[in-house]
Amino acid sequence: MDNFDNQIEEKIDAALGNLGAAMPPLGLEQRVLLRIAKKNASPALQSHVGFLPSGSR
Amino acid sequence: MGSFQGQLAGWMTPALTSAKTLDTSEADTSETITALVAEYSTTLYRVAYSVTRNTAESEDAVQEAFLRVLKHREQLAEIRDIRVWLVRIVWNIVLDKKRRSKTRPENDDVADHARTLPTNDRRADDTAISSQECARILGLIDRLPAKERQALLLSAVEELSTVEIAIILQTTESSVRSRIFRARASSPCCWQRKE
Repeated sequence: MDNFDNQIEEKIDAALGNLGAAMPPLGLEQRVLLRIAKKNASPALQSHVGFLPSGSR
Repeated sequence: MGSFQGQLAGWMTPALTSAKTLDTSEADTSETITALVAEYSTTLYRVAYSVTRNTAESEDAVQEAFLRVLKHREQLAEIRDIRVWLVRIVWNIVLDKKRRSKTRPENDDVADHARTLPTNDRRADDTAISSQECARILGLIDRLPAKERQALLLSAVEELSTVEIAIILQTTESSVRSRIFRARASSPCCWQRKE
């Protein structure tokens, strides 16, 4: 029984460990900044992420 | 707006005495936001993912969190602990979405879960099996009462301390420890019933 419980504990630890260390998708930061830039009129931020509003090209 | 103002309550400080507070004059806004995104995106993603178990929903929650920060950027300088404050914002976002959807937060998309697992040296077959096992364990954890489940899930996010979890859940550190203990104690029972 104790061995069984220990195995369960180890599996819980492993599952939580994997969950808590989940890797975000590549480019997350850039997409966050891009979405912010699209919502925000700040030229500085838009320039920072290379975002050009439509019609500005 | 109202709910966000509520989230600000208790986080404001009149003096910039903490090292974690930020200078957010208008000229520095873009740099500040960019720095926050660079420093905290991964942590916020992990917090969101602990609830959603879905890559797209977690990313959307992170983006939404930073949009809220941008909307209220003039108040950033008054926040005592930016990191915990951001985590609380994204935590509330994913919980709100969960309540609105009235469905269980997790999905059973094992492939999606497998894509987000930390990379290591295991063979692909091992990872796939492990993903299924993880999904099963997490499914059992999701049957726990909300308070225990939430404390346990936040404890999984490696960047968060018990003190910070207590702040996020608006309770005491001892209560968090108690909830985590109860959650871990009851999980094997759930597992055994499943067996």
